[in-house]
Parts: sequence; structure tokens; C-alpha cells
Amino acid sequence: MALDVKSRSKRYEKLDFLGEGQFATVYKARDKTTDTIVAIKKIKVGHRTEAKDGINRTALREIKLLQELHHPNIIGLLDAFGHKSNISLVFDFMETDLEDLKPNNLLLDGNGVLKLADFGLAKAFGSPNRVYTHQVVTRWYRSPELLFGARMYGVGVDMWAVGCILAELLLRIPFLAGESDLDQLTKIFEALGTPTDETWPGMSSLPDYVSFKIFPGTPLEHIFSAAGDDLLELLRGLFTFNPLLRTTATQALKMRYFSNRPGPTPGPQLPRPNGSVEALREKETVGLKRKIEDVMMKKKLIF
Amino acid sequence: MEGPSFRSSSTKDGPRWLAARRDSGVDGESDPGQDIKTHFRVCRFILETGVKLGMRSVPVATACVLYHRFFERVSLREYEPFLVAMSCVYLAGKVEEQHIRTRDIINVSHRYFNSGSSPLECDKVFWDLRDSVVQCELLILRQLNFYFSFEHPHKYLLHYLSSVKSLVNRHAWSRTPVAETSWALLRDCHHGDMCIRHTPKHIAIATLYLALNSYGMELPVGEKEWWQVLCKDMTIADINAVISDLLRLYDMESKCI
Repeated sequence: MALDVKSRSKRYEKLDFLGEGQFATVYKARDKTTDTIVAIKKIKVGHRTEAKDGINRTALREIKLLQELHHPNIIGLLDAFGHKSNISLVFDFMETDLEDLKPNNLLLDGNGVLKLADFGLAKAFGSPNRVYTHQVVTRWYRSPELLFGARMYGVGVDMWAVGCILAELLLRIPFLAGESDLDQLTKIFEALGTPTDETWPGMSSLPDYVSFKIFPGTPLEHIFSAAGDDLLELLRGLFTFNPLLRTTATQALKMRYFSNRPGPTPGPQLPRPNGSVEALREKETVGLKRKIEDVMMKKKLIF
Repeated sequence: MEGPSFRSSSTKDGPRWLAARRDSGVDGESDPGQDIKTHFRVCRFILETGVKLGMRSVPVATACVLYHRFFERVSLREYEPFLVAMSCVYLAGKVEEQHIRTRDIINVSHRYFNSGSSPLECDKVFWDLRDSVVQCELLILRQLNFYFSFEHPHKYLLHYLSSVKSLVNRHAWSRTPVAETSWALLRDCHHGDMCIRHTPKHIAIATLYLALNSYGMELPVGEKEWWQVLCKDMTIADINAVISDLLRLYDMESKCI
């Protein structure tokens, strides 16, 4: 058995360091058996206190969900292996860097197909009134009900995050970048207006509710000046304060934005996020050449 | 041979109830009959421990399936089955989102083998045992190639029960504990590796079939038998195979006191 484990970790040849997060380090590696490039996510064992509790529950949850989910837009878990007290997950290799919906967890593969990654905090879809922890979803993408401490929430939190991602794609910078949970709520209300018990019944009875200054909000067409009416309509639906009235994925897909022209660009024709390393290097040399030329020109002018 | 009969709580190498088995001549040749008995005892331990720890039915079933899948791959002579069982309970709690503390598992296990005794002191024996439970958890995961999430018969039984209920006279149904009995039969299936040898659907149908027959409850007969309607790929031979495996386990009970 020990031999088996050893041979399994030897199956992969580490090629490159890709990134490091709070819970894991990600490497680019080659699978010697299939001669394909994979990404290996090595879960950090963390503190002694954490290691004492055995396998990290978040990692376990991620493995379990990824084994059950098979979808073209969800990152594929190819293998999992343990070495000493570490656990490594082997994924399809993605062009972009590696539970919650935020742009960092949306990856593009070589064919421009979008993949969701990082299911550490995802949970099985259960009854809508299950009690969950409210410390989920990176703050900037967290919905107001989570920020007010709601323990019983539903898919609405993901749709809010989708709205934030969509807004970020339009603005090219995070839409609501709060520095604390309270600042996050302030940013949300400044942009979208402070909700009332009429627009969001039950808001004031949430566990961590605090009353806020009444902000009038900025019309969405002023914030997203490049967005058409159909896109603004979608954003408005996703940024609905009352979670029960917030647009669901099914409703969103039926909205005009998704059927109006122009249609979406096929994946393979999308511009690549960073381009290959060679292309980047080329860009740098071109830039360098221009600089050198500029300097030469100046010199020429001086003379 | 092991477990319950040991009274002394611990030796300097670890709790006696875990250490003792090693001296009881188990390193000899494999004896399938003896192995089945051991697995029966260990699973009874898992099920009782589960109740004492307030675990729900599905996490307990997961613990048993983890246990059987582990010993499907390794020999009983290589690992201490009660330690593996404790780790299975711990891991199942994580897998099914009903986290159980190692401390509680150790205390309940200690009490299981030494009824009426006080909990283990928080000394080296305790901490070593805790480390063993945690290390064994990773061993199980590796041995199972990280496939630790299973489909169980429980959801099917629940679904079949509600279908069958609608076919029966309301008063007859309320007089007869078919639901309770079939649920208990389902739980008992986990005492042996039959719970991983039959499909979840087949186990659910067979336990319901046995419960209905035990109370002589008859269902209206249509073109097909009720169980053929609920589970298309099932034959009467499949039902009988599950039931005879289960009856063999009940037979075992008297031999494993």
C-alpha cells in the first residue's frame, strides 16, 4: 500500500508554481502516465492544531462535490492523492489562474470554455431553510442578507455574486470593494440606495441588522454607462435587495439580454486572458524596442 | 475474544481494549467465518456508538460503508478493526456534515468496552489514541482512493414507503409499524458487507418487502408487483438474495454475544 501511495505521487512531475492561496498551493505539473498537463492543488496542513483534527473538512467537501458534479462548465477533478499528511487534488489545467463565485474562481480552458473552480465552501443543495454559516463568499461578492448575518439563505446569494461579477466585467474593477463588512454594506447602499422594510420585508429582523443612513443610490445607467437597456434590466434583477424577489438563474436566462443581438462569441474565438508566455515576452520586447527607439530619437533630437 | 470482555482500562502502550486483540491469536491464517463475526461485532460497535453520539442514520451508514470498503481492500490481520471503526465514525461525521469530536468518540468507545468506568485521563494514552484515530482517517481515505461519498438506501426506502402507504388502507397502515420495521432492517443490513454488495435500491425494496410480509400486509396487485413498479431492474431472486444475507446476519447475532 505504501508503495502504491508513493507511485501515485510520483506519477506527476512538478513543472511550475502557479499560485498560493490561504488554504492551498497550486502547481502546474505533467501527468507522466497520460502525458498531459494538469494543475495540482496541494492543501496546506496548516497549524499543528489544525493537523491534529485530521483531514481538512473544506478539502473533503471540495473532493466530494467535484466527484459528484460532472458539467462542461465545472472544473474536472482528475485524481486525489495523499502523501504524508498532505492532500493533493489533481485538476484539468486551465489557462487562467486558479465555493465562492468571484472572478478568481472562474477559469478559462484552452478552448475558451468557462469553468467554475474552488468548491471548498460549496454545499449540497438542500432544503432552502437549512441553517448555514453566514461567513461564506468573499466579502466583495457577498449579498446584503449574508452581511446582515442571515443563517437561512438560498441561491439568491449566488445570484448577487453573479451580479457583482457582471458589474466587474463592465467596469474592469471590482464594483463594491468594501474594506470591512460594515463598509461593504455602506458601499452597496451608496451605489444602489438604502433598502427599507417596504422594499425588503424582514430586513430589520436579521441577526446582525444595523440601520444605515438613507442613501438615494445612483441610477444604474450612470454607473454602467456602456450597458444597454437589456443588460441594465438584468443587473437590476440581480441587485434586488429582497432575496425572494431577486432574479434566479432560470429567470435570468429568459431575459432579453441573453436573446438580443449580438449573440455570444464562441469560446475558441474569445480573446485569451493573458496570452501565452511567448506572446507576453514578445510584447515586452516590442515595448523595449520602442523605448530604445524613443531614446535614440531624443538623442537624435538633442544632437 | 475482543472488546467488551476487557475490563482493565489501559496499559502503558494504549488502552487495553485496543491492545488486547493483538495477543488473541489473530495473526494466524485468515478464517472467513471468524472474520465475518469480527466485522459483525465491530459494526455493532459503530451502530451503538453512533446512537450514543447522536449521529443521524445516514452518517452512521456512511461509517459502516467506509469500514466495509476498507476491509474489502486490506486484511483484518493488518489493522486493528476497532480503531478503524473509530476513524470511520470520525470521517463519516465530516463527510455527512455532522462533525463529531475525536474526544467524544474516544470517550464513548472507552465506555463501550468498560461500562461504568470514568473517562480516560487526558494523558499520553489519550493523546496517542487520538493521534491514531486521526492518522487512520487518512489511511482509510488513501486506501479508498479518496472515494468516500456513497449513495445509501435510506432515501429510496423513504420514497418507497410513501408510495406504498398510499396503496394501503389508512387504518391498517397506522396499526402496523411497517415504516419502523423496514427502517430497522435497513440499519441492520450494515452489520455485514452485504450493504456494499447490493445496490441501495435493492436493499431498500428488500427490507420493505420483508417488513410487509412479516406483518402479512398485502398490497393490491396490478399487472406488476408493487416492487417492479418502484424498481424496474429488480427480480424476486434479487429480493431473496438480500433477505437471505440479512437473515444470515441475524443468525450471526446469537453467535456474537
